[in-house]
Amino acid sequence: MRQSISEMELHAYADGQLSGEERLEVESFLAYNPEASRRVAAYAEQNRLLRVFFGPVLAEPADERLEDAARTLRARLRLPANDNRWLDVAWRAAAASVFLLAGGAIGYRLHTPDAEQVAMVDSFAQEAIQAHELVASNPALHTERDLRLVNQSLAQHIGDPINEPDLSNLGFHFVGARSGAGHAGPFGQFVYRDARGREVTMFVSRRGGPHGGFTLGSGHGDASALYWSDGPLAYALVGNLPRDQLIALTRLTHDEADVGLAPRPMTAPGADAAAEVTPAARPAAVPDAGPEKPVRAGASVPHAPEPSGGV
Amino acid sequence: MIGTDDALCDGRAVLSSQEAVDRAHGLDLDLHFASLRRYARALAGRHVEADDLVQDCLERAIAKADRFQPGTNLRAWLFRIMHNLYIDRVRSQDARIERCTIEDAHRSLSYPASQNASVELRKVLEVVDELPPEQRSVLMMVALEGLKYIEVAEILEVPLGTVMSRLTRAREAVRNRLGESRKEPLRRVK
Repeated sequence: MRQSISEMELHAYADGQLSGEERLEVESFLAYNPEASRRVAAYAEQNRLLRVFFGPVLAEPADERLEDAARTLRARLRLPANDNRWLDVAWRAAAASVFLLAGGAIGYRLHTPDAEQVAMVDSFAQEAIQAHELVASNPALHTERDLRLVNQSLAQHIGDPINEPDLSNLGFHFVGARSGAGHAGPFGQFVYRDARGREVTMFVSRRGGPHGGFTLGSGHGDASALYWSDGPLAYALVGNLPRDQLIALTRLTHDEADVGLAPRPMTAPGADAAAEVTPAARPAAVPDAGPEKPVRAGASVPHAPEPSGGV
Repeated sequence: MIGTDDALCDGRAVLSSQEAVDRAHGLDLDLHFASLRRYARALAGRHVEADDLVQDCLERAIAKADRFQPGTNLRAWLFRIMHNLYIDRVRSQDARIERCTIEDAHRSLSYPASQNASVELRKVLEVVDELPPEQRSVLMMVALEGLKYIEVAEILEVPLGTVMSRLTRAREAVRNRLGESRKEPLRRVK
């Protein structure tokens, strides 16, 4: 264990700007340093409060004067207009839920801005990226190649078994899956790798949301995520890939992932893959919220199916 | 490259890689635009002043568009323009920005934050109102907009260490106000 960590690492931990390995190091330090642990918890809470408070600004329509200026700037920078068919579909659908996810920060436009829903979406995206980074940095977590165990857990905790989408058309092959319980409830994670060893993961959990469309998240230099919700489930495709590839993969995943919903034979009773909770998913230094403050996201999972988004 | 082009040549194909990248940059502008508006609100508080700030920022960006190098960090470029405008305003006689209070900010929102959050929020925003502008902008760029520290240093044209010390001072000021006496249960920390 490290005897000390830098001021910058402390902030970066609270801001979600560390890689999986760095995060684990900081966590092991924090476990024995309650004062530092209190600081990072306070910083993360400040982030959350500010985002909840100012987040609705993104949902406010800009007045025409501003939109004009933005259009002019786009033209002057020779940036293309958003008139492509597929992207257009994704993007218009997301127009009410466009996200900029930069590390910890998430901008959002929601149909129904609401602090709790914002927090829920926020936590889903972050968790998907964290889970990706964890798997990417820990090949040992690659998991149950046999989907039966995972699907049994998913069926139990999410309500549906999930057939892994076939991404081989784009060169990514399924290498494993795992299920787990994160801060916001049970999740499934499907790992794919291409011939160059690059990995993408599809993260799914039962999370309704007010946003039906696609949401793009750019990670802090590393992983990016595109995520969406479909019925009662929320999906994210996460990878450290050029954006166009991520978009193409997401499109394929979305097509494939009317997911689900053909059940696989379920056998092997008794195994509970959800028992695997990684250290990063539940930092030792940061106990769960106390009773007067329930954990924020996913504590009450909406079960009523949402109308699927406009894609 | 993965087989994007090949695989997508089957009629479902829509974009070449380069087209997709160009479009993605274009889309980024939408995202940066939204992010700038939120950042401005966090700096200026009142709706009108905040949007004025964004308007000025966009106009200055339009005027300087020829000097923007494609492929460089568009977000950092826009935030630098915004930051310089903000500091100019703060330093000018017209100190409207500094006098903006949390009530102004709260009223400016179309949908006020939920009741539960408002006590803690009030304290946070009270401290934020009192922060020196340099600390306030660092805090908002990091905590609200999620910019990387090195990006913030680039935007402000100051050393990384300066960014970190401003960030620490801002966060500690907020933390002291919120107080540790209430034994806040620790939340999820990323």
